[in-house]
Amino acid sequence: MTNPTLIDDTLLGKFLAGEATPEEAMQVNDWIEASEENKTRYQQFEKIWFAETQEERRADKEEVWRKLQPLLKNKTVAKQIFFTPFRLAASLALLVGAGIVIYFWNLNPPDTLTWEAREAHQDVVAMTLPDGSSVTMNRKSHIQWPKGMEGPQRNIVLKGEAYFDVSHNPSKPFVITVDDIRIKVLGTAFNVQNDSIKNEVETEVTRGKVLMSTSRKEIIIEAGMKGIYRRATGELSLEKLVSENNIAYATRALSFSNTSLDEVTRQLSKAYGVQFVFTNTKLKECPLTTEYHNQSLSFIMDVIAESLHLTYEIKDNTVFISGDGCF
Amino acid sequence: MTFHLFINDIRGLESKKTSFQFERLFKESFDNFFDGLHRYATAMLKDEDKANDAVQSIFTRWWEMKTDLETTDSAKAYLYTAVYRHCLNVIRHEKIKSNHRVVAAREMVTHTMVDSDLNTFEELDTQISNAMNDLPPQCRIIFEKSRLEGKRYVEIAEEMDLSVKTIEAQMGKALRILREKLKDYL
Repeated sequence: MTNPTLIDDTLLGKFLAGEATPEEAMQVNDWIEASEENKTRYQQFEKIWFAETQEERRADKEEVWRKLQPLLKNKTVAKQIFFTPFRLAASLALLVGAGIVIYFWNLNPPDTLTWEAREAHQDVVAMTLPDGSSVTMNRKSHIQWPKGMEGPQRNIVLKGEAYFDVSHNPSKPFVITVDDIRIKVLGTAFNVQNDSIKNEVETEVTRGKVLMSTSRKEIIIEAGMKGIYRRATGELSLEKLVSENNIAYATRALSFSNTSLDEVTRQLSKAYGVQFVFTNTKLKECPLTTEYHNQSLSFIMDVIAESLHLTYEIKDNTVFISGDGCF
Repeated sequence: MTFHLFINDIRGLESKKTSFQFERLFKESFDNFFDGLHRYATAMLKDEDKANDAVQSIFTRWWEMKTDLETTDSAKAYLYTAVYRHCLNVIRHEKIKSNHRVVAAREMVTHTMVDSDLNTFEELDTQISNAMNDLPPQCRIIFEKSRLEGKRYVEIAEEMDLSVKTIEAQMGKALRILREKLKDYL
């Protein structure tokens, strides 16, 4: 942290004018909160700027905290159960049992189970499975599961791409089968993509850990990593997850850091199910650094247009981008 | 097989522990950084309600994404960067529809004022205007462009063919002089 006493009027001016970078803003706030004297000095500047004092409104803090409550009460918190060593041992025993069952199950898939299925065609489909896990299926994807999620483990068969947020249940493993690949989890959030063009299966883990296995090999994928299975070579490999843009179709969260507009539109195209057409290919090189969370496509395009001085038009499912080039 | 299952279960424990830690860090960060983040968002957006929305939305996002941050310091850096980016997006988006910063800057000084405040406000406003007239010419023009017209430093620099550094320095100077002149009213 920077020395909070080292601050000058130039920096306070930048802060009030809304020009401070995050680092500068931290510096200014540390300084303001370091002493009453500093706070008074800031408030005097604030008065000059706004012609009134922006009192530290306790009400704002309380109001925002109150608005966050429904979110905080949601899932994760409620799901926390304390594990005693005894219970851990018990669930381990169960799991070993389950392991054997899985093994045989794999050799002889039971045909006695009734399966349920769901398909996503033109739109992304979000749904909750009988065990409380949530799935967001990307377009042109298909999943199926045993009716009522019965059986010793939660078996899912996936075609295409889906983002899973799995409810925690150590005694009933959650296993996804994608052709010849199995992905096993106990409680986590991750994305599985069966890319038929690249002939690969990708598993991106955003939270927790999963085990990805072929009939011969297996790898553990931790949060922030991506496991890749290449059919051509039969190899399993690990890569660092560069961004979570790939799962934006499910999360609607995109972030770019000095990313070319070409790549940005590729991600937007996947997340929003639209095509992009550049009237001037030079625009593809324009770099963009920004972040979007749960924004509509038109909001994002407005911001991009303003940032890069270009224009756009959305016709049906196609976005036309034009302009002279970025500067 | 047994080995991996064992690891699997430890994973379950780890993620629970992390979940507790995450929740604690989240609440502590809200408590410690709200005021600063709100001040920052208010300065950027010139609107306290929009600043509330901005801070709420970045905390919501953090909760939803459970972005794993190890320490209070990294949480702080994450939150400030998120507020910055969020506000920039809001500004850029609104700029398309109207010359937002001007409108917002004006709204800012007039909203939520009761009658008794209004007199003090008008008096202070008059004093500020008078004091601004006494600023060195270039200093005054720059200060007006930023405070009254809501222009960004880069825009002012371009218009006046000066460097951004000069704008920064002149703005600091303007505030320093005004504070000195207005001592009795602040």
